[in-house]
Amino acid sequence: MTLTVLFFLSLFSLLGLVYLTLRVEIQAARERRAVEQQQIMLGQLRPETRR
Amino acid sequence: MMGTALVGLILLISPLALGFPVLGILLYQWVDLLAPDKLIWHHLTGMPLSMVLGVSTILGFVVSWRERVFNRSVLQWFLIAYAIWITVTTVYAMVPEHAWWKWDRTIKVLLATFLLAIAMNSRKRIELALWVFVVPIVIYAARGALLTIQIGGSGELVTGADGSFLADRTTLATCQAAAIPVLVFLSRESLLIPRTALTRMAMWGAIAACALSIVGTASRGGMLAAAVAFAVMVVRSDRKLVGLVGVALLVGLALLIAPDEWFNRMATIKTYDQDDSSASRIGSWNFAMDVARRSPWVGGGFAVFRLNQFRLSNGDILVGRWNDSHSWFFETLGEQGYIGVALLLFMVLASAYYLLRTDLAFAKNAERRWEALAGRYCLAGLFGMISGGLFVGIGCYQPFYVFPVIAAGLAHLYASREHGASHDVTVNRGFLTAAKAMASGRPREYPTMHRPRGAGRTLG
Repeated sequence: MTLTVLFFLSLFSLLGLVYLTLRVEIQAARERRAVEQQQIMLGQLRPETRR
Repeated sequence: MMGTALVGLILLISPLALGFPVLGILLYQWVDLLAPDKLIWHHLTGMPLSMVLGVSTILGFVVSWRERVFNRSVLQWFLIAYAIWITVTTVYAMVPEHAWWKWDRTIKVLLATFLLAIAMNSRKRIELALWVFVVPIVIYAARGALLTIQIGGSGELVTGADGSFLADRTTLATCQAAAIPVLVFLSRESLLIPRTALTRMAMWGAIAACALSIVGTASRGGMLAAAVAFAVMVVRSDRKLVGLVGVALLVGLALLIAPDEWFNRMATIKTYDQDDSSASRIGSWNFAMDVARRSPWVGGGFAVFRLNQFRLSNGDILVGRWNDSHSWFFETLGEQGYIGVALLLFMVLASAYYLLRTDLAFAKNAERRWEALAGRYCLAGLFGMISGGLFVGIGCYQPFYVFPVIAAGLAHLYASREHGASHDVTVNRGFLTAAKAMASGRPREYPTMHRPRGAGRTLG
């Protein structure tokens, strides 16, 4: 019984962590690309330095 | 079957760390702290889960780290210096056959802490790091609270999983005490979890579970950690009366459920000289000071406490077994000498400084109030951790470094003009520059210690 509860707590916390982290990281990558794009347009960043 | 499924899931997820190194390092911390292999499925303890995650994460940082700026507060430099120093002292260790095992474990902790710290450059990442710290603790607390209610907290029952960082009951109680302020912060200011009545109830349930579990461990160090954490929270609180009532309710609930064994255990604080546990602690601390006196530069190296001898109250002498240091301070003093303990102390003090500075600077700033609260509650957590840790050797454990990581993150945001973006491009110039700027009387909210936007250091 206790093991089953611990298993589900671990499983949900793992899935929650993965979901939240991926959401944050993907959003951050989008924002980063938008900033880089803006900097390229303003001439502050050369396109070849963009990664 | 359940264990195999969870292991399979973690192994399936681990390649994601190649593309998202932050996910990898957070997963690594989660696995290390919760130790699900040791908690749930003992037959899979040999599975190199941490190794798979660690390798994926390091590869991820090398090949796909796209941040243009990383957090490089002075805390990271101290982590590097400390890692170098423990390697030097291990070369000269007095018990080399056991020292390298502990070095191996500690260097992994320091590397994971370093990687997590350099990624702490946004509010959401700081919050993720806090969640990764509290969730495993709350899972243990839920188990501990149930045991305390069911069986009555005999002290031997509520412990972490054998072989994990939280195996010792004082360590578990100390971490739970340090997690309570973090849970209060997350219940007030979480950006990632919607703040509904349900989530707020869940958070307060988690806080109550932590308090009950601390009672269930019957750890005196844990009680001290909780008292210190509560005291800091109340002292720094805007509504001290509400804070005091909340603490009184929590303590009242815990005392109501606490069994007789707990009261008996606490009564031994007064008669510490007749108690083997207390006597062994004092013996270990004296031993650490003795080693540091004899070998002030490099200490005795890891595992030097194996050379310690205990004389029990019945006259027996314990020799050659694993004798714990019973304190992070004396552990570091004995094993790493005066230089090692100075490095670790500086890291702790610098963390406290960063956290307090953030709290003081933004307490009245509505836009950055969450930073003030993060600083305030993490300061309470840090004080809880170091005060409880004065009675258990947690200087090489992963939870000990959680608050320095958060302090590094807040120090980075403090130095940034626009903290809204998740990848701020201003760079924190570190403790000394910050101290200089503050000493020169520059405005607190917007100290002029930035590099121009976009001038950050590039990695990868």
